Amino acid sequence: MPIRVRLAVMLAERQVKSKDLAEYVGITEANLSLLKQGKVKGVRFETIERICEFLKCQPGDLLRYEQGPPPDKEGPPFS
Amino acid sequence: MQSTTTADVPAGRDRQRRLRRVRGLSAIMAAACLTTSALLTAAMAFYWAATPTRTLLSQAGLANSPATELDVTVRALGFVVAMLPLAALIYGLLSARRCFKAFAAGDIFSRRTIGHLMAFAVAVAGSAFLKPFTGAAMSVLLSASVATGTKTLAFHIGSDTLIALIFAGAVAIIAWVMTEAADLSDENKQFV
Repeated sequence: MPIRVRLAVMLAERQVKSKDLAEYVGITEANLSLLKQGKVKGVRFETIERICEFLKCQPGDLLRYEQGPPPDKEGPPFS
Repeated sequence: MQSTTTADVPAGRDRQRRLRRVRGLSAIMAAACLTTSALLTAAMAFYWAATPTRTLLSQAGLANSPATELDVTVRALGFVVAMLPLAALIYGLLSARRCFKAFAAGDIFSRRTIGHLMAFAVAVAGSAFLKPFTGAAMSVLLSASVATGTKTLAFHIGSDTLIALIFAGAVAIIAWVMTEAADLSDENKQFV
C-alpha cells in the first residue's frame, strides 16, 4: 500500500516516547508499534485526533502517499 | 469532534448494557439447556417405564390395537427408538449450551461459538427429520408386540416437525450471518 505512516519520524522529531503517546491516546504500545509500522488496516478518527493533540501536528503530517508500483492491471484513474 | 465524543458516551453505555443483558440471559439459557437435556432423558425413561400400554399404543397411532400388556423388552426397545430423535435434540441442546456459555463469557464473534450454534441448528433439523421415521418404526414395533398377526405402519408428519425445520433453518441462517459479523469483528480488531 503506498500510504506511509510517518508516526515514527514525528515521534523522533519531537523526542516523544511511544509509551507516553500510547498512554495519552489510550491504546496499547503494541498497537502503537503496529501503527508506526503501517501494519494496521485502519486508524480511527478518534486516534488521529488524540495523536495530533499530543504531537501538536496535522493529520497530513502523519501520513504520506508515495507512488508505488501500479496495481495488478489498471492504473490510477487520473494521470 | 466534540459532538462525536458526546454521542459516543451514551452509545457506549447502551452497548455495555446490551452486553450485560446478553451475558446474563446467556448464562440462564446455558443452565436451561443442560437442565432440559437431563429432564427430557429422565421424562422419556419414565414415560416408557410407567405409561399404561393403552396410552402408549394410542400415542403411537395404534388406538384400535388389542391392549396386550407390553413386556419390559418391548418397552426398552421403544425407549431406544424414541431416544433417537431426542438424542439428536439433546446433542443440539448441549451445543447450544456451549454457545451460550461462550456468549456469557463475552466470546461472541468467534468461529467456535458460531460452530456450536450451527451444530444446534443441524441437530434440531436432524431430530425433526428423524421423528417421523422413528414414529413409523415405533408403530411397527408396538403393533408386532401386541397384535396377533397384524403389523401396522403409521407415518406421521405434524406441524411441529415443519416448525422445527423452519426454526432450524432460521438458526442456521443466523449462524451464517454471525460468520459475516465475525469477519467484520476481526477486521475491526485491526483498527487502532
